[in-house]
Amino acid sequence: MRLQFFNTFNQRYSENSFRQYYKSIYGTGPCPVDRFNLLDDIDPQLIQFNNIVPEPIYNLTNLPPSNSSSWRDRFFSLYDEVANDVYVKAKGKKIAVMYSGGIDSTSVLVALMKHLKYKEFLDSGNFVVSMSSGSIQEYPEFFYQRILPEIPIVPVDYNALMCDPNILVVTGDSGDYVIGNTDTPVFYHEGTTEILNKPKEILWPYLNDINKTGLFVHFFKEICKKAPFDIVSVNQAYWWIGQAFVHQGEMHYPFIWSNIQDLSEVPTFNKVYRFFLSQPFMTFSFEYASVDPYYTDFNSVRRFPKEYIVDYTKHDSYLNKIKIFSQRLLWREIYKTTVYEDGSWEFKSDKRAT
Amino acid sequence: MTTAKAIIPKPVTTTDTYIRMLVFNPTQHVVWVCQEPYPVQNIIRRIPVCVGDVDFKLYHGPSPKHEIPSGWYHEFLKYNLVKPDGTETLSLAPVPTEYVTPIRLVRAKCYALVGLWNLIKGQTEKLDVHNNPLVSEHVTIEEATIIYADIFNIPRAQARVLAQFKKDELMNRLKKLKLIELEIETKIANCLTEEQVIEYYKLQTIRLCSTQPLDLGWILDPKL
Repeated sequence: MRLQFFNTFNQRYSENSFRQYYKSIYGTGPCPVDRFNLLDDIDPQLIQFNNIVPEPIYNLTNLPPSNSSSWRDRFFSLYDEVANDVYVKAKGKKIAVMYSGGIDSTSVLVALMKHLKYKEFLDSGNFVVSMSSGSIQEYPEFFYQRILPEIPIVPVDYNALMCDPNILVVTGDSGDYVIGNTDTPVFYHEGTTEILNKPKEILWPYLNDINKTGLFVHFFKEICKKAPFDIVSVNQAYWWIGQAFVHQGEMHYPFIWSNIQDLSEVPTFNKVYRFFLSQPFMTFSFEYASVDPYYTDFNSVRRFPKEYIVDYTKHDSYLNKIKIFSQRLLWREIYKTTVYEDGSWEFKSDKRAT
Repeated sequence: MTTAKAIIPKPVTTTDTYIRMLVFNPTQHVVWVCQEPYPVQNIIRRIPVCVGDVDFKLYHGPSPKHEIPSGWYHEFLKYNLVKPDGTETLSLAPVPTEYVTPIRLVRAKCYALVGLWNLIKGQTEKLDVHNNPLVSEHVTIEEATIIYADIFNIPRAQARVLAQFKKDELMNRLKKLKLIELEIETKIANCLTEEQVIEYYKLQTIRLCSTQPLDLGWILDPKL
C-alpha cells in the first residue's frame, strides 16, 4: 500500500523502521512524501508514495521579465479568481475561514470579504472566522476594525469543523510556498543574511555543517537536477523543495488534527479548500519561480500578499509587519500518523517496516 | 484495662526526607515514589492511585541512607524496596517470583499515567488554561465585557462578543484536556499487560505532541 501521509513527528530511528532507512540515504531530515518522484535512491520495492497534490499546469515560454509589474497585477487578480471558486464550492454550506492573523490567512479573508457573495453568506449566517486569541495579536487593527464588528468568530476546534458536513473549511495553508519558501534558512554569507538571490551553491557548506555526512546536500543536489527549469538561486532551490515536499503534508493537516474517520475528501477541495494550492496559484508559482525573481530575504518574499492586504485595509504600517508565530499556541492534537492511498489510516509509533 | 495514648504528631523539620509512595497491596513493594523537597510546602498533585491494587504510604523521617546504604531509590528501581507500616520504616526484600509480572505492570501503569499527566499539565500551562481569570466561575461575561469595552475602547456589544469568544476558547481547551485525562487514566487502569501500557503510552505521547517524553522502558528496566 502506498504512503500518502507520514508524520515524522516523534518517530524514532529504530532498527528496520522506515525513518531509519530514509536516514541511511538522506540523513536525519524529516522524511517527506515525494510528490514528483524525485528521490531515485528510495527503493520502490520498499516504499512508494501516493501523490494527491494537484498537478501543476504551467507554460514557461514568453513570460514577462522578473521585474515586470505584471506579475504583481496577476498575483492580485488570482485572489479574486480563487475567492470566486470558494463561493461556488461553498454553495449550500457555511464557510469557516481558518484565521491565524498571519499574512496568508489574512489575505484569504480579505479576498473573500471583497467578493460580491460575501454579504449574502454573512447575512445568512454562513460565514464565520475560526481563530484563536493569538490571532488578534498578529493584526489587531484588522481584527478590531473589520472582523469583530461584522463577522461571527469561533475558537479553532478542528473536530467541530471537520466533522460538520455543512461546513467548508477554507485555509491559507501553503501560502508560504507560492513565492519562494519562508522556511529558507537564515545564515550569514559574505557578511549578510540577504542570501536569496545568491547562487544555490552557497547552501552546500551551510547544509554540510548541519549534516556532516553530506547526505543532506546529496538530497538537495539530486532534486534540483529534476526541477522543470534551471535552479540557479537559493530562493529557487528552496521554492522547489517546498513544492516537492511540503504540500502533501499540509493537505492532510485538518484531517489528521481531527478525529474525522472518512478521509476520502483529503485529495479534494470539497471539505477543505486550500486557497494557495488551487490551480491558478499553482500555475503562477511555477511560472514566476522560473524567471528567478529578485528577492533578498525572508520578509521580501512576502511583499505581494502584504501589498494585497494593505490595498484593502489601508494600514500602511502592515507592510513592516514581522512574523509572530501565534499558530504555535494553537491547540492541535495528533490523531493520525499515517495515511495510505486508499484513505485508510493508522495512529501508531515507529514500527513501520521498510 | 488499657489506657489510650494520645497520638502526638512528630514535628516537621526541614532536614527530613518526605516520600510519597504507592505500594503493591499483596507484597507492600513500592511501585511508585515521589520525593518532596520540603513537606511544609508540599505540592498538591495527583497520585496515580486509580491504577488499582495499590495503597498509599508515606515515608517521613531522616534520610534513609543509613538504613539502606545502597540507596533507597536504587533499590526501588531494582524492585527491592518495601514499605512496611509506620512513617519512618523502609525495608528490602526481593519480589516473590509469582508477583514479578503484576508488580511490573502496576509500576508501568503508575509511571505511564504520571508521564502523561505531566504532558497534559504542560499543555495546560502553554495554553494558559489553568489560571486564566476567564476560566473562573466567579468572573462573568458581563463583568469581562465592561473591562474589554473600557480597555480596548470598543462598543459593549463587541466587547461582549470578544469576552464570550475568549471564554469559549479557554473552556473548550480545558474540556478537551480533561477529557483526554479521563480517557487516558481509564484506558491505562484497564491495561492487562506491560506491553499494552508501553504501546498506549507511546501513542499518547505522540497525540499530546511531546518531543521528549519520559522513557518508560528505562523506568521498568533501568540500566544500573
